[in-house]
Amino acid sequence: MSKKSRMSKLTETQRAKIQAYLNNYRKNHGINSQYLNEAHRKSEEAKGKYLASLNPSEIDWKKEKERQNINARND
Amino acid sequence: MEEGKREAKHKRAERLNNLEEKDLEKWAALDFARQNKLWIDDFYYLGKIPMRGGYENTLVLNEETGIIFKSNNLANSEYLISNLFKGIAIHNLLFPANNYEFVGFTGLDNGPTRTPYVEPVFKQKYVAEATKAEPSEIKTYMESLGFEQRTPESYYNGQYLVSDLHPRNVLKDSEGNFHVVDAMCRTL
Repeated sequence: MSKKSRMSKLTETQRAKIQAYLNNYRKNHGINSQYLNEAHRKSEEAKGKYLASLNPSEIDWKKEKERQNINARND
Repeated sequence: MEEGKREAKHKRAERLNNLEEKDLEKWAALDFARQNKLWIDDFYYLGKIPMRGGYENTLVLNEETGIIFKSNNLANSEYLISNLFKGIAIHNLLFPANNYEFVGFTGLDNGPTRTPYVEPVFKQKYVAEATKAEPSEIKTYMESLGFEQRTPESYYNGQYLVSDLHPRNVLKDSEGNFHVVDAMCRTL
């Protein structure tokens, strides 16, 4: 088998593989149905609510940047 | 000696195959992105504020939406796009409140004869007013999810191995919730 035909065969496989991942990804990016346990589910719900409650226009981004720098320095 | 040579030859062939696989994934990703309008010409158009990222991610923040965009150079995924997608799927399963959403691919289209440079781009909600969790807090949190500590930064639950849990990757918000914003996840 020539390299070209081998490559094109593999390309199809890889393309299908990636397409399946991406399709699955789009479908499941909001996966919330599978949890490790009840405590985890509650914890994730609380975090989800907290994140949804944040209003970007009210966040002090300058302070956030400073916070990030401090975090990085402490690493 | 002959055995050693054969082994070296086999290893070389294996390496080539891996290289081919990496290249083919990039070609397929570019093709897919072009067909589905998922190619991002300018990553910095997505957010104006560059943020501090780790070894594998370039980050920009869109302050109007509170969304952080991450372009992944695949360095922690053995340079395979499929490996990264597998890891992200597990991350979303284990930490759905901090899930990643696929946005598209960015990089360099090097024309029809040279392999393109491709980085997958994901978005995630930015956790504001957060501080880094202490290692002891991370341990307690992961244990509460049924994981056992294997190394200071990695945890295993009999099915999934979650590693790279440094304090900078686990944030604590003002409500006391822990957010795993970046981790390496795989099935073991």
